[in-house]
Amino acid sequence: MIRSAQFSPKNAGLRLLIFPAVLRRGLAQLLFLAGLTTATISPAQSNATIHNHGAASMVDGAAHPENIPDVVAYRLILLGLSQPANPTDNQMKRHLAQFRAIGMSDSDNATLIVSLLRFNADYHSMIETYNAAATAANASGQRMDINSFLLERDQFIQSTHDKLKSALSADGWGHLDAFVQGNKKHMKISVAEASR
Amino acid sequence: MKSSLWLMIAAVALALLAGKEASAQGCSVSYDPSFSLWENEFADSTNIYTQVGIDGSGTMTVEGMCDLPYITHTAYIWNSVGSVGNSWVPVGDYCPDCYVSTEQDDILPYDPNQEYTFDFEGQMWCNIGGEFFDIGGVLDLELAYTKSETIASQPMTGGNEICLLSQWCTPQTQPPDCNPSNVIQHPIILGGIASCSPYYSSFWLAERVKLPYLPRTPWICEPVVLEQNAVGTDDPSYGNCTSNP
Repeated sequence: MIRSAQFSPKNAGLRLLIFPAVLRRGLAQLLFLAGLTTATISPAQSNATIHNHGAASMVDGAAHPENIPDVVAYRLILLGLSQPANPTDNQMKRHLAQFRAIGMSDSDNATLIVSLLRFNADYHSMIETYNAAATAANASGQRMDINSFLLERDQFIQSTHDKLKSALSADGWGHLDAFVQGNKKHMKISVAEASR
Repeated sequence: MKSSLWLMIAAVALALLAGKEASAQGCSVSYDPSFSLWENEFADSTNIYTQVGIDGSGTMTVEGMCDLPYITHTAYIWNSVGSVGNSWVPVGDYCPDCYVSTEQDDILPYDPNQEYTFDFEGQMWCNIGGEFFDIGGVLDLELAYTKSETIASQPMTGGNEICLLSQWCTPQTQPPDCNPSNVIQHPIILGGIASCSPYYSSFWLAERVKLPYLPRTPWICEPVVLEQNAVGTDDPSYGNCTSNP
């Protein structure tokens, strides 16, 4: 089952709006001719090397939920369930609808809400810290190795998963895990993520 | 006129020289994206809530003289349901080596008798190289109502009872899009013994993948109101079920 929707009219609109091919080529040639840039990417180079559609190397959870690893599924579900410390009314309403869909008891809901608040703060703080370092490195022309961050991220997700499993009742954990497994169909992940 | 001609020749010569230098020091960039796209849809008694998120990173390989400080990656999300959210939303600028984690949420007050299209897509763009990640999909969504008849029952632990169901819809509204096979009836009073109602009304958020030129897939039904997700009744009249096969 293929669910990708590439080359739809809205894609075409975005291409025109943001980076029309003609303008991109023209701009590159203009910069090249004027000798204004030390990083000259010819149109051929930019098309051949950087323009890389992801669809071919994606795992579609709608077709193959079994190929979405739990550590990825929990990460994406926890992201969808968590919300900022001061949610809006609409975020609260959505949150209630989500929790009804999971179907846990009130006490398990309370446990999950507290865990999600902590998850949201810690996950985004971890990313902000890494991105600040990466931005600083890139700004000075240096590179940042993301692999150690990805390892830290996965360990954090595994740890959150384990803590939830021990904090929730057996029935509550059963509901949450069934919800995560059932929602793998809503995920499309890279092959690299699937094989990590 | 003559001076203009000389000026043009000089400009072309300068450009050619500059071009040679730029080629020698050229910049070649390739990017191997490793992003995940996730989406969710939930409903309560008045609204459909949709979420679309991008989470992940990529591996950029740079060869030659590239100006890293001038490269920016921007995430865009398309999250439209019904008449809401029909535009691309830029959801963050990132450095080339940064980790991307962002989402876009929408809310649609729904009409229970209407079918909606949920169109979702995520893209990543580089200000130098253009688009390098693009994935999405389209789902049909509807709020579905089903009336069912209890055809058998079986006591369970904790005073609960499992009620086996069969659809109880008017001939015009068969087959129902969502057709529950059973419901678990809890005791009305804590510690009591449950007893199945003769009929049940149930409410669902139904979704199915929308693919052009291909037959429609069956609806996948998620309960809207959990607890029991079904309201017992003694009313024997057939229900006007939601039926859009």
